[in-house]
Amino acid sequence: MQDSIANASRRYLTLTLGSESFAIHIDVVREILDYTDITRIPQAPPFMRGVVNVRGAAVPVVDLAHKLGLGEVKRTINTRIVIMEVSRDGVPSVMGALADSVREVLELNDGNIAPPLRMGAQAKADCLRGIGNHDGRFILILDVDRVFATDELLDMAGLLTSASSDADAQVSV
Amino acid sequence: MSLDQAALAFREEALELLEEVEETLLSLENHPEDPGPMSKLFRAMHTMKGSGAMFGFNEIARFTHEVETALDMVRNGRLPFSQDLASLILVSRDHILRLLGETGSNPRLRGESDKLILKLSEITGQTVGEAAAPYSETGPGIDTDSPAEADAPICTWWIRYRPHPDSFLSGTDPLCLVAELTEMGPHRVIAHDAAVPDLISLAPEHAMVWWDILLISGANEADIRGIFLFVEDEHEIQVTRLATSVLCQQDLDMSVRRLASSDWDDAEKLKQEVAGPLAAALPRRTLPSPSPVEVEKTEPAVTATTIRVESARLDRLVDFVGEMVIIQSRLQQTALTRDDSLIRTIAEELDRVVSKMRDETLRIRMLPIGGMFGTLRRLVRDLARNLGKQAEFIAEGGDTELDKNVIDRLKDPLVHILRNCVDHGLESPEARLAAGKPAQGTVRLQASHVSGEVHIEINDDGGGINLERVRAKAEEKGLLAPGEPADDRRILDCLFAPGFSTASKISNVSGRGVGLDVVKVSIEELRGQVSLESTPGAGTRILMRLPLTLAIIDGMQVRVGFERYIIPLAVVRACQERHCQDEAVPVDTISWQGQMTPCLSLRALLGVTGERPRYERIVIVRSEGVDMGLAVDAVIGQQQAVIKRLSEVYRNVDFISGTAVNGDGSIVLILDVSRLTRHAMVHYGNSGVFKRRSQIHHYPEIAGGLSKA
Repeated sequence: MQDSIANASRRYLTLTLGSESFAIHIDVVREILDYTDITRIPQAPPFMRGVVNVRGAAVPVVDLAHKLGLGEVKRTINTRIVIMEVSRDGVPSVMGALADSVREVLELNDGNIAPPLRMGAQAKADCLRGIGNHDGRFILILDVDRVFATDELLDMAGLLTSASSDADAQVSV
Repeated sequence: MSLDQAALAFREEALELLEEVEETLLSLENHPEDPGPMSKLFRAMHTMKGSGAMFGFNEIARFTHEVETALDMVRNGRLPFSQDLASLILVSRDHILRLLGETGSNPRLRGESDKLILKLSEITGQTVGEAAAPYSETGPGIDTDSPAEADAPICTWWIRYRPHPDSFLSGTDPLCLVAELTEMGPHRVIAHDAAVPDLISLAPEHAMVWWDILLISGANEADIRGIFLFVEDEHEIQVTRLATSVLCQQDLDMSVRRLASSDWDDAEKLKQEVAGPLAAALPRRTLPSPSPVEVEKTEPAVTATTIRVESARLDRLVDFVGEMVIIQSRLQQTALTRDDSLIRTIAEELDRVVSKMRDETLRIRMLPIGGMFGTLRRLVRDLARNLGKQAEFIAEGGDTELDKNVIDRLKDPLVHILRNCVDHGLESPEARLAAGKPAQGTVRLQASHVSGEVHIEINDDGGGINLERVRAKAEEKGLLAPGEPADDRRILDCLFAPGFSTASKISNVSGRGVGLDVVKVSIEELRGQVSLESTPGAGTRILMRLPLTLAIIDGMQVRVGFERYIIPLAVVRACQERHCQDEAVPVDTISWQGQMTPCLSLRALLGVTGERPRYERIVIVRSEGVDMGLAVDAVIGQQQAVIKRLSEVYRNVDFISGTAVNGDGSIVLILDVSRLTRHAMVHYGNSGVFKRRSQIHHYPEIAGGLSKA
């Protein structure tokens, strides 16, 4: 019993964004959806792709690639929305992450996880929790709480709002 | 609140307190040294005593007083807390629960109270007389039970009952009579079935069994015989008083054994055998022994008629029902496209159930607004006293029901308004007398249902609003141009502007410059409206109109490009259409009712991609007192939408008040029209579009508030 709990806590879901592999701790993953229509929310920053209906709830979807500075997730047959339960400012909330594809669930021992590099990786280092080594492959482990930190999302949204109102300033009658 | 309602409220409160008592006691048994729970227990009993006496539950008040006394002694360290005491208090708690179920006075329960009080006094060491003295703080207004009932002694009765063999044929079920008898108090029933023959010779329609019943009750012989009133002539009934007290377990057991082995004909002999030893033994015992009451309790337990549920749970339930409504409508749509009458029937049946279920579920969240009247009454009273004024608060329509979320968020605005009424509205008693009004002012709150809305009206009979002063202030604040013609309504509207206050000096009550604007914003967040009327010298009237529930709105669905939005139907006034050619601009004008009216392009404002159609629909809405057009690609239709809040991460998004789910499972956004209007006024207000229709106050404060709302 103890053993299986320990195993569970070492499990990660891997997904791809562009050419890179990322891993998310399995505990935060609630479900994985095929790509469905995402309802865009006006005034939100581009990486906030909108909301999807997850059994009646409007769950915000973040374009992970865009958020990490890796371009944009394009809609393909492999595109998935990973629904996660994250803690934002200590409050649990459900968020979706758009990924190019979802691969597998694998186990990573803590010994196989190195702290994130300050440079080198393409993704923004502050969203990483570490770099895992699985059979010689390197996998970037995402710190989902950081990725979905409210301040960051809000900052971006705030920037956009002010930008858009500047643009609106030209008025025609 | 009528007296009945008060009694009901007391009962509910008491049930909660009793629950608390039980929990606390149980936790206390684990941590007896902790003083906190003991005080909590004491307080619970004290409250119950006080409220009980107030609402005429005299027996509860009397009994609880004794429990409270014991608890007080423990609390003050004069009595050690023991397991015995804990169990006794638990038993007492159960007893109070039973007392709660009685409407009138019940001599049997009174007797039980007395017994428990005796036991308590054993532990507390107080003399019986002192401890059992009736609760004296009830005051003269509440009379205790009539002496006759109070004096009815508890006796142990022996009833021997043999039904007539043909009793079934005359429609009498002897068991019912026995059951009725056993409802009179703790009892032992012995059924004698020796006369029942073998199955082979059994005549099932004949009653062959007879009974001995030992009953502990405050009833007298006539009461007992009363049960057999209609069968007395044919059935055989003997009622004997065994003892003028409650028999202890041991004596009961002995009597039961003796009776069980007896024949019908030994009655006389038995009377000697059973009653004799008892008569000898009883005087030696001064107190009834522990538990003659442990015979099966047959009285129905009092259960709460309401259940307290965490409101988050209700919200989840509403969510699920909302989902179900959506899935149902998908099913319905699918069924219509199939040529399968069975599926159609099922879909229709489900539709009926689901819509009923939705209504019921939403109703669960409805609470009467009267719940907050107490606080408001207190507020008016305290305020008036502080300000040296005399005010009476009259609240009507307390049973008007509103969604709990609305009620929770209504309190602050109401407090604000009432403060204004008492502070600014009502004059001092002298001024009132001088004006020929009674010294005591009246603040009246009326709540009512009006065609799918709830109206809350607050009137005061004070001096009304000084329009001249408001005007002067408005000009000073730049809300009105000096000398600009404005009717009364327009001037009153200025009161709702942010930071507006006419009180020349700031009091600690109101007039800090936040007030009506906050009220307006809060009410609008509830999708309600607030308006104000004033008659100089006669008073002020504030009317709040609120939707019944926050969970569902009637909306009009529109399409812009590939995106869909819902405009709340409450703000929609009309639809128009127009040809167009150029690129969409955020704001232009249309002609509506012969007036130049601003028109917002949703396409431009919301940043919708795609080509603008040649032919645009325009939905005319009224918000913030302004008529305005919203240009869309198409109007899809009217629908009821179950509102879901938008996630916190979209806190900075201005124009969307929530989301709803379409029949096909897609999400549609609900537009916040008043925010849209304000945004347009702030950003395009100086373009002249809004001014032309006039009457728009441009509040510089809003601009600051909007970008970081």
